Amino acid sequence: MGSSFLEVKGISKSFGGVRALQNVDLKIESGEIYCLMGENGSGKSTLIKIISGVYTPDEGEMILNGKHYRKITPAESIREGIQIIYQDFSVFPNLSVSENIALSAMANDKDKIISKKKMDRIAISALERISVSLPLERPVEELSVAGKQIVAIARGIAQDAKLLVMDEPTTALTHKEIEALYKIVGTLKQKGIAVIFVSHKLEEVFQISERIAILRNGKKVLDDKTENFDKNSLAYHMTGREIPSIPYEYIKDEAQTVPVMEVKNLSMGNAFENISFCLYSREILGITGQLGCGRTELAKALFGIGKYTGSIWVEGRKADIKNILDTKKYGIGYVPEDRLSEGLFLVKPLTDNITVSSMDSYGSRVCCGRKELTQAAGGWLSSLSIAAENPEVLASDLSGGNQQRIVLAKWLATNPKILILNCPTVGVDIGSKNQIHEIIKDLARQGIGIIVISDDISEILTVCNRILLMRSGKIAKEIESKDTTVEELEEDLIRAE
Amino acid sequence: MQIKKLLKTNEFFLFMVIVLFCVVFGFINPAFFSLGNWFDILKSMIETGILAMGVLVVLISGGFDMSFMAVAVFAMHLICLYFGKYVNDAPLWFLLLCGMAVGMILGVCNSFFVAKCKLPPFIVTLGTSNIISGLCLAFIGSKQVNNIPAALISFSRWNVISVENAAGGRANLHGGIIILAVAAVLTTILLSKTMLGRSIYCLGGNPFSCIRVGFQNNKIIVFVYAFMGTLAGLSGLLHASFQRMSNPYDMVGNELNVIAAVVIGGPRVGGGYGNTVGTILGVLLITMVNNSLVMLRIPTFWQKAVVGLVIILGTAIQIFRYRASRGK
Amino acid sequence: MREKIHAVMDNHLARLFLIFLSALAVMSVLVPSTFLTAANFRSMSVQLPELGFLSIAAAMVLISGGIDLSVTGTAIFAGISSALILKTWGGSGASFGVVVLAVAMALVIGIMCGTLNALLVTKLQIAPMLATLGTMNLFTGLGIVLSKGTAITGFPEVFQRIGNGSILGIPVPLVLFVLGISFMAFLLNRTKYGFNLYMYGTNSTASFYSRVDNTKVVFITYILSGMISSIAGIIIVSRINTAKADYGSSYGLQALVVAVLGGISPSGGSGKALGLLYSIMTLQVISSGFNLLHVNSFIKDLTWGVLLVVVMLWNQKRTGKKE
Repeated sequence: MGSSFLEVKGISKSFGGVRALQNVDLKIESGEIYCLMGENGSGKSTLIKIISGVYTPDEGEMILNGKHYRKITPAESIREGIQIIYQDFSVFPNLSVSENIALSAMANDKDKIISKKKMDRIAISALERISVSLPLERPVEELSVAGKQIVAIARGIAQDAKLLVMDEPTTALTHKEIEALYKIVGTLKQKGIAVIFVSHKLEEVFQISERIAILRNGKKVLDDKTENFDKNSLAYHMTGREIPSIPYEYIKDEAQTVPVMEVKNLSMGNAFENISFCLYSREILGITGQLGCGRTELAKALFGIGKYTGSIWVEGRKADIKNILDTKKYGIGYVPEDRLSEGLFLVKPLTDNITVSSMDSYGSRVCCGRKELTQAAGGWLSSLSIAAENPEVLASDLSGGNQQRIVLAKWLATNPKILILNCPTVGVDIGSKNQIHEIIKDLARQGIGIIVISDDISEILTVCNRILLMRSGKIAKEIESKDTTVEELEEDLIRAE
Repeated sequence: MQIKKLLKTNEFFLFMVIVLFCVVFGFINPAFFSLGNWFDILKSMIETGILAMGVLVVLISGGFDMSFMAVAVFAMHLICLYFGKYVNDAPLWFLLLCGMAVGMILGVCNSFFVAKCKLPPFIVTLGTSNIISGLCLAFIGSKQVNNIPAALISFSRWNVISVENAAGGRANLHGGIIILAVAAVLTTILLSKTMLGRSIYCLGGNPFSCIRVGFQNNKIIVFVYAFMGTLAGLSGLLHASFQRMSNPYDMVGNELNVIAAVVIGGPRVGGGYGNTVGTILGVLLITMVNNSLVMLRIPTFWQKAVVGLVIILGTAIQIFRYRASRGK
Repeated sequence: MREKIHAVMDNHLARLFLIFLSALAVMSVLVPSTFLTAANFRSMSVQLPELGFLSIAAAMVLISGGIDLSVTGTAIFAGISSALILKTWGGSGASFGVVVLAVAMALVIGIMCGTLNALLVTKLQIAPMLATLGTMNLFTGLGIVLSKGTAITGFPEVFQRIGNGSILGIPVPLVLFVLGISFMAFLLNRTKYGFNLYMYGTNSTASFYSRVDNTKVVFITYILSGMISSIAGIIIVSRINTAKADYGSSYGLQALVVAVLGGISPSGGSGKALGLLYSIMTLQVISSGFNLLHVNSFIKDLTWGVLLVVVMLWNQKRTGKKE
């Protein structure tokens, strides 16, 4: 057993009456790989912010290297060796790799003048310690996502990190990159550096962690060695309830002879090639694959983004889709991956958010009245059971699950025949996730053809009746959901290319 | 390898454009290449160049300053009026220092609104610009001051190089160019060699990360606007010296011309990019075009339109080059 | 009662109206004999529309999340073009047809200027601030080139009436301005374009993915901005019976100040025509009052600056509290 590096004792924190954390204890040893799990809003990020000194806890204390802290400042936290690798990595795109790695360490040394030699030395030694090499002079904006993450990790190492907190580090990585990251984490462990892995991906926590703590509603509900858990118990502990997952049952419409959408030999640059498939109404077609397999580009191409070759047919007629606006007459809707920046107008009322894509159906050609819009929006709020007082509430005031329903409502208001959902439940907690899945299934039953793009295997399996597996821009496999299992599909997904 | 990299830079491209202009201008009128003409161009660069250094630093930090001309005039008029009246024999270095101090204080005031109150810099400095020039005209004076300190007058006659040309006249290079050179070198060192300078790039590149990494954003912002103010104060006094008087209605309204010169040199709106070499080249290009139209027998009233065209083409080409490099 | 007061103070429009009323009251008390006269109100209503139109132009682009520095450039270019047409075909004796042609020409120039801005912003993707910084110089420069840097003067009476005449006792510029600002209010509140403009200004990526025709929104906005600026140009030329390239050039940044004072957020997506109206009226009252008080014009600048900063701080504080 190593010595305890960080001990958190009885931490509580409230925001305006809402208790974000209640009496949380945590103990991390040097060189330990610790997984912090919980749904959105469970208090994970609050806890991290307290450890890094961004928030001051209302109660409790922290013991770092044997020193007691009632509260800690960000500078003290860094000095004690705590480094946070944020989801966005917090790198400087305009600066070089070596500057990104070494600058903070040099600032900690109170260097006023930059010595290029010292800078490169720090950067090289930090990269060596995690056994990676990167071009030092390259501006970081030219690196891949994984490269930026390595820079962020190396920056932490350069500042003598003893504990690295990684916030959802695998979200934007390909399978290979994730493997490389695990390797780095392993190296860190050997060097006696502790790692807190914040995640909600059940699969990965088993692979990497030694110990798992689960937060729910601001309380720690479980804290144990990884081997004492299994996936089902984890999901149960995270949500506090059993979640029934009933797979989608597709009932073919016998009257239907042509598919609602047919794609023939679709290719786009080096993103994907020769993609062909059919989508029938009432169907939910899953497209899955690793990051970078071309699934996102394919989804966007179907929505008129990007130049493709090949043809798209809607209801038996060739569709001429050159840009997003063309998709209107074919009744195609697209729910983007990044809800906050691509899907919503946060500072605008729900009315505006819901009606923005269906303006054609209100008022006259040029004008439209506010009342009509509010009424239409109100209808969608109740039919999708969105928890909002009235349609004039701002979108930013809703929870993630409700926000996603607003984005869905926006497209349903256009009366679509085909709906493309790109990672529809990213960042949505498990409870809302299931509700959104039910909505999607409901829509399919009403006759919409739905394409779901996701790398969440269990989501794909419960929601879709048919699955396309993409690999390196091609369709590698087409499977009926009922003919496969989570394990099988997962193996297919990560099989070496 | 190094050379190949150099050839791809924005600065090299700008340099080639300048060379091209020179060739064309020189072809139309060989007098363009005369020493006298180049000395004139250099002299015209002094004020704009010094201001441009400040604007560059503000732009890199992701900020904006529309008030530097008002600051320059404020410092100029205050110093010229009071020193002219009461301490006419004050030495040059002291006058410049006082001007810079006044500018710095006003710059710090600007930074208060940007850093502390988090107001959008473009609009708020538009407001402070009105306030500063209003204060200047209302409380310092609204009349032209002819009795400016003697040191400024004598400085206007200080030439570092004086060459007799063929026609018997003299081509003079004004000593102010040394001040510009010093300002440019100091800014270069600041931006590339100091922690403070790099933190300005950090702030412009990603302000949130800047806090997370442990820099104090507000301190950087205060420095940036104070730096701008200091250089504005300096260039205000140089302006008075060149004009041999202090006219409080001068300069204000020309902010955008300086900003345009800087922008051609490479920084992107939003911050994080840009360097002094590009900025100096940008200032050189604009000054050259401005100064040479007469020589090319193009009526002066074409000046503004041509400058506008240069700005549009300059920014458009930069974007094309950026996109092309991205495409690879 | 107290809550009611708070509610009023929280509402930007109500606050602006209060500021306007207090400015009116202060001026009426300070210079009652001259301020509260028909002549003063008449002169105010003649002066206000020029900056007013430019503010509308600037405001539309601000709502889209962009910025238009070229409004005065456009006004100057358009004004001089129309002046040149009048001068070429008859000067002060030009026929009614020529006047119509001149006005039409100005509008066309305004539309062309707006189109160029929109092209630079959408097709070349130059940041609006840089693009319009360039076109500001270009348009003003073209105005100077057309006029060869001199003043063009002497226009027919019909043309002068645009700036100096009145309809039913109301000055024509004011009538035009009321029409203009009503048109803006109509566009923003009632039309689909207005709806899309707000959405685009709030989050252009989201509006792209929501199938809003972003390019069309930007084009309409800049073209409107150009056209409205050219109307300001016509009014200026007509009112002073002279076209010169440096008339009105100080309005450019002032127009932005008016817009921001009127509650149009510089980051885009919000703002109302009514706010703009209050803001321009307030500034006109202050500026006319100062004139009557024989206060120098630079005190006016000072007041504007202070007002701008104070209103921004006030807005900041109020929205900051909500968060």
